[in-house]
Amino acid sequence: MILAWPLTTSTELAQVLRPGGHLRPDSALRSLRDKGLPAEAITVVPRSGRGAHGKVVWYSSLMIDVARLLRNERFDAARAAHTEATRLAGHRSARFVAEWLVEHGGPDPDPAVLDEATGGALTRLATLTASARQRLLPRLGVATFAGRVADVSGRVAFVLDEEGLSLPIPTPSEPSTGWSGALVTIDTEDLPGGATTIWVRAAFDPEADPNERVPGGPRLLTPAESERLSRPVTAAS
Amino acid sequence: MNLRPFDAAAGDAARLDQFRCSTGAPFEDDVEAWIHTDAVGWANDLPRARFQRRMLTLVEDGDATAAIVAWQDITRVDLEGIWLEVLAVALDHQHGRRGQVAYELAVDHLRTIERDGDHLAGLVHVDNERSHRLLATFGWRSVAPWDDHELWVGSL
Repeated sequence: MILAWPLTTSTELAQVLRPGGHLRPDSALRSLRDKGLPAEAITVVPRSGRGAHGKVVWYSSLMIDVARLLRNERFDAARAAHTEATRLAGHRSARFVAEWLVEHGGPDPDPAVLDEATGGALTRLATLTASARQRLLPRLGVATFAGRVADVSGRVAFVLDEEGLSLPIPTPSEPSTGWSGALVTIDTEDLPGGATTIWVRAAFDPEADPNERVPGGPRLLTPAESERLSRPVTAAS
Repeated sequence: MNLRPFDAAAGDAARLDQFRCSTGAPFEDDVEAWIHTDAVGWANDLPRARFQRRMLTLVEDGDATAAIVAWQDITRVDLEGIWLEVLAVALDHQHGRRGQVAYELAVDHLRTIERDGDHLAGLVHVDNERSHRLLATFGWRSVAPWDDHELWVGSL
């Protein structure tokens, strides 16, 4: 299962709030706060003598959806996404991830290393984030896709999902050599006036735990399975 | 009956070695083998064991080991609560409702521990009719297929 990187930064929130424009990260946070949608920080108090690494602050990646919905003035949906983002920022798994990032992180942490070192906390946070996003998806106003960059040809990258579907996406003017083989999630957003914006974010494929009695990694319940779960026991077949 | 954590210093590794729960069904053999060879490694597999709050316990009935119960936080599905990795009742405790008593003892304990939610979840082999009956008795339901197992979900 390909999971999106479940964290974001105020810089990314600024880019989503004002695509193609120039909004300072602290202004983005203030805009969200002024609309009653403050970004709950995932952080820990740095231990003494390690102050420099404690200055990196992360947020639940669901705040990206909050920012997008706010830009589109879809306030009810923004509030629903914000509730989930705030819950996840306070989740135990987020604390484990934040502690590792303070100690070992940097601007571009390796998801596999982080996940291994935290005992699967990153996978857990990403699973819960993906689950919340799945529930919110009908209200988010984007089409989503997740896969691996199978090929880069000129200004186009071809992303292949786990079922073999391919999505061509434009690459930046100076594509990184790291694009080929990268796991990514893609949100396609139709903007007013007929323009389309493609948001590409880093993703990862969690390792299965070798000690599990029944092998296999994490998965999300399908809507039908969740519905089965919510049925009264007496009605279960 | 009494539920207590696995204690290597108290000779519990030998208790696990001697534990028998399989009546011969392959899926019961798998559980018994996991208890003999993997359970201690699972419980001590840091840092997973710390984050996932893994616990390996023995249910004692006098001097006998009546059951082995292993649990952790749910991490494999998008539910919050406790994942029962194993609940295995000893061969000599599988009748006369003693399996149910062991289950109730374990769940009573789970209600007291720190956790992120009140779901109970675990994987049960599709052919494990006895476990299906036991879990259904306590309000669990089969929610999803999982290879040759099913995801069963209950509640605290």
